[in-house]
Amino acid sequence: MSLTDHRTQLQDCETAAHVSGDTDAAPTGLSGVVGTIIEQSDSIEFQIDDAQEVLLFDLDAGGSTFSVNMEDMTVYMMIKAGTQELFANLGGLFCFGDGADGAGGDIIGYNCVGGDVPGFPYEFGFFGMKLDVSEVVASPGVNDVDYYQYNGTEAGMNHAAVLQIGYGTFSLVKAVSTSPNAWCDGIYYIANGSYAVSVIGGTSGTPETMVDVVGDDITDGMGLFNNPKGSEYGFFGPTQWGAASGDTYFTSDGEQWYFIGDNQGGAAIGATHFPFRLLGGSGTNSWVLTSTVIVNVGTRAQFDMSHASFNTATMDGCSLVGFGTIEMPGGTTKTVLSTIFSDCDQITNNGGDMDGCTILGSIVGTDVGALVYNEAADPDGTLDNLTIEKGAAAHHAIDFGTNVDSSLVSITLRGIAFDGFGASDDSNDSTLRFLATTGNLTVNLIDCTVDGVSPVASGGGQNFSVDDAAGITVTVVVAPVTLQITVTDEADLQPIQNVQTSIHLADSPFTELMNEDTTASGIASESYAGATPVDIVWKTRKSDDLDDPRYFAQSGLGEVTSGGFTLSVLMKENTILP
Amino acid sequence: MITIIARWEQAQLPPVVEYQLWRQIKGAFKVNRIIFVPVIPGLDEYHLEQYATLEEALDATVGAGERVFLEPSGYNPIVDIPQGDIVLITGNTNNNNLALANVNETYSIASPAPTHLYPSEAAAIALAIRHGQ
Repeated sequence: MSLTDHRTQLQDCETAAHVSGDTDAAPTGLSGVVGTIIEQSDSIEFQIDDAQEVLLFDLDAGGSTFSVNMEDMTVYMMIKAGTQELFANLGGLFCFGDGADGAGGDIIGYNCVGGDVPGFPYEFGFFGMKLDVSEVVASPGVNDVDYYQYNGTEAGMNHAAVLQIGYGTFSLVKAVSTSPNAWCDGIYYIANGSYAVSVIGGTSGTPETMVDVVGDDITDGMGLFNNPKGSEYGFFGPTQWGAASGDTYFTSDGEQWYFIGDNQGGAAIGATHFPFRLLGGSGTNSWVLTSTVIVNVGTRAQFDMSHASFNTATMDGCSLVGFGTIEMPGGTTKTVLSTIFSDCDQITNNGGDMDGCTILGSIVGTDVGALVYNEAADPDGTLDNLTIEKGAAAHHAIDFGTNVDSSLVSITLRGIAFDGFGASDDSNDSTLRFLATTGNLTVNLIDCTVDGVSPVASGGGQNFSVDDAAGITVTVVVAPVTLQITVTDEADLQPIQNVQTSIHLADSPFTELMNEDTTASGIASESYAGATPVDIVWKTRKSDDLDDPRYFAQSGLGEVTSGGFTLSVLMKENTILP
Repeated sequence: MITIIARWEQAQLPPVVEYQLWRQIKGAFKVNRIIFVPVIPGLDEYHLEQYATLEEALDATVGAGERVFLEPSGYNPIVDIPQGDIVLITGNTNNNNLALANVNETYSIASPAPTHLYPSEAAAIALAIRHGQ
């Protein structure tokens, strides 16, 4: 197992001389004391007083001056400081200077963490903090609320040529003598949209686990993964599994993962700057998750499992909460089964089986699908037994893309439970939407339900709808269920032929669902395509004058469910009648 | 923007202690920049801006704001200290800065007895009144 840190390490905090003279968090020095180090052999110690003060570096890890265009970067820093003010009081700032040491440039600290915003808790009381600079470039906010001006003005800050970088804070406890009360051990940056770290390694016999990932992170002092307790793991940076070459085998079972898209409050990462993906290549890759719950807080991560070269990607019995767009895997060795997606953005099925998955409270916008299917193949066997519950917007359950066209002739949706979607065709919240523009397509619904009852696709009581306004003509066929009554003689347990059987609606006695005589096998049956469940009254009768023998008539109440209605009746011969 | 130029109180206070006094003023009144004269060696870890002479310090702050010399015999009352950008200049036990100041750039604190304040004490009073006390 190994982790590859793709960030640029701007400062390793191994040399006191790298601290800028514009620093006013004084005194500063080098600490080699265990407990104050997470990376290499030293950290920079400094003293923060009960006023806004700043630690700045004007030299990089190699001892050279630097000038970095930070406008579209995310910066990371590892800090140990225990008495920070609250976030609302500018408790922990990511600081930049656009002037050389002593040149009097703008020195601005952007509000990032605080005493009530913990960042990313790490070893020895260190915490990671991160700032998406593009966010503060676009919306710096208000002086003394969102940023602090140590020197110059925020308006004058040149983010395109940052010459100094560091940490600012306000200590709630007045500093004593010259003792340090804070330590810094690592500053990094990476271009937005990139992946901060890759996880690779493992073998088929010994796949790697999160225990290995966190162990390697601590070894390198990266601050991108943590293990706060038990089987709970944190992800702080954009992460990818796999590489262009080499094998990757990973497994997780019964864990809880948290993707931190902000600083657990505080400064949030930009909308598309916190991605996650699986990356295949020339090696063999396997990523198998079972019963693992993955929760995204802060900015939503895009969750991409679709890379074609990734060999095996499997999730079974997992749960994803609060994610952005999700790309499901494709191919037969990549499945996501019985997994719950709650409060997530649009999910795209790329051909992989997602039998039994549940999509709850999708956050998609108006007139799009919570789930997208755009494969040139019948989804029967791929989308079986889904549950899709509408979110807040007027949206569809499934968008079928242009590849689902008339060449398929018909498709089958099997065992899907639709909940909360509109009953009107060609509407923003129609159950299904089709984007193909010509031809005809039949959609067979087998064992599907709408709000707990059988689908009704047209006419009175319609509860299932299609938006095919793009041009294709879609016909919905609700597959019928079977009503069947088997009649047997109570005395000899032999089937009775020509028994009159009937089934009527319980609340509408004149609505007949079945009226058939039993066959030589004692069976009467009929198909039914109406709504379910529905209460019925059944009757069996063989007592006309010409019947020989004659039987006591029987009747009772029952229910036709989505599986139909099946009943066995034992009839007793009436020997009293002449 | 507030800039302070302070002569080290070398006669009666250790520099680290005096630095801590100035540091609290810097925090409390959001002082942007503090400059010390003359250069005292051995304070590298404090990252101080120091100049050998007051003249050099004044040259380094040209354009940073109106000059405010705090002097026991200053001409203006401290309630007249400007509200805009200022450079606050203090002496120490052994030296005043009158030789480098114009009369209308000097300010004094009225007190009932002739005892002179330490520069950091005078600066705190001046900045507090300027802040609206």
